[in-house]
Amino acid sequence: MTEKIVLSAASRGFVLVKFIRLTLSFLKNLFRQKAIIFSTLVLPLFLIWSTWWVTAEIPMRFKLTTDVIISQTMVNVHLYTGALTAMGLTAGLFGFIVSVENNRIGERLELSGYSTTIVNLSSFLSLLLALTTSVILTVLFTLFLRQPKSDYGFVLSVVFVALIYSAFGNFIASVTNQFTEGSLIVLVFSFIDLMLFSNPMGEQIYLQDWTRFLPGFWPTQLVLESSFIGKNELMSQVLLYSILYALFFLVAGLAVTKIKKVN
Amino acid sequence: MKSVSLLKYYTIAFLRERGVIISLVILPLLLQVSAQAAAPKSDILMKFDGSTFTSSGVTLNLMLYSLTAVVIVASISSFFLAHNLRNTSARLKLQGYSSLSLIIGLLTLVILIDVFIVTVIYLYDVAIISVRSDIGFFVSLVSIAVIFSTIGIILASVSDSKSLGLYLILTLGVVDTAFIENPVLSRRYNDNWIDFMPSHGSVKMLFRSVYDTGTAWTESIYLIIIYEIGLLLVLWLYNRYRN
Repeated sequence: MTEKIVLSAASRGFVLVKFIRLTLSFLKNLFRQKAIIFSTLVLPLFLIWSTWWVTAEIPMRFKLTTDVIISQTMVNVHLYTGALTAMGLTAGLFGFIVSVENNRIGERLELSGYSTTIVNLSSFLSLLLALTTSVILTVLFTLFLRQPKSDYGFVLSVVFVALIYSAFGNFIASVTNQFTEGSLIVLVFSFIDLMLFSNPMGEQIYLQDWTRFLPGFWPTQLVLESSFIGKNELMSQVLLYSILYALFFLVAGLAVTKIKKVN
Repeated sequence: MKSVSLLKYYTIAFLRERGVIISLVILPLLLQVSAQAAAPKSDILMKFDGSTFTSSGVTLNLMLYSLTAVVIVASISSFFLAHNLRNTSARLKLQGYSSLSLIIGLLTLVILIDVFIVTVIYLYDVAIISVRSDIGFFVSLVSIAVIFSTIGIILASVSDSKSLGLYLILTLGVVDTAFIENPVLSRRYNDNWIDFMPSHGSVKMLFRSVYDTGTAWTESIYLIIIYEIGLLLVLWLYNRYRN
């Protein structure tokens, strides 16, 4: 009995070591391709700066789910929602491209004894770690342009969007390994979610009941609440939905990969 | 003749991607349907070419999102097509194909794809909104698609990294069409430097073909032609003198 427990603990420890080593190896591989890392900085910085520099000071009035009414200029609203959109697009596309590349390497790794789950999870963790630079720069640059009333809520919204959309990119990579269609699916979906349906700019759709189930809805609500009111009342919903969404995409991605292998 | 056989080869390579229908038909349409659904209810007062007029929220949203949809789909499909064919093109060059014939073959396919994407979006839009000139509307969308496709091909030749090239073309496309070239939301629209942005001529043509601004839609066609010729020259020179 004792022997069995010791053996199972040892095998779990071995799996953990394998997982960490694989994550570090994926991460090393990513950092070796400097252009990939640099590319994650281009889109957020340009998109945030251009929305701030270009958008007119048109007055906007909209409600939050908490029934609070916010009156702000469009440029201010665009700055924060633009930061989320930029992060969503970057994380989604980065997640997709990196996962497609890692899935190809994964096929060889599985031949040398690694399980699909470990390969998939360590690939996801490595891309999340690589995205950190982009998240930090996005946050710092937005804060430099305009200070929100609560930094805490704003920072967490960006982090959650990065988490959800990188998991989404990872999921799409397991569905298709074709760059054109995968990139377009990630791009159009994140654009529609963050720029149109979850955003006060999408006037007729915004706050309709079904939009609450979109992955970008709660982070967008939190960013508006924390930036313009200074409260973080929606934090618990955002935390719950974001983690659930990220987990859902991750598990779905894993399931699709496994089903494809069986077939 | 060489370009024709290349066109055949490139078309087969492009159609080998199974999800091509999703990329070229369903996704741009999805963007259009979403833009229509989310459009503001109220009419919007606009000023263009010195004349003031009102536009319904649906017309404005559909028109502006048709630009974004065309640019995103055309630039990404041309970028990945050209990037995937980089090694093949290099080998074909060694076998005696000239840079010009390779560019003509690729560009012809890209233009055909662009016309297809635009037709899908055009048919959807004209079924919902009424425009001043149907031809002007179609030509302006094709012109912006061709310009961004050419930029996509240039970036595919220049950038070794797929992800860097994708982010660059996307940044340029989204920033230009969704923010800078939006006469309603952009406070930079009347700046002089905007003439150098890739979609400026096409946006002018698009507005003139949708609304009665008092100016013919063909007025800015020279800007588009000059821009496209400039891009083609850059593409040809880069491919000719690379290595």
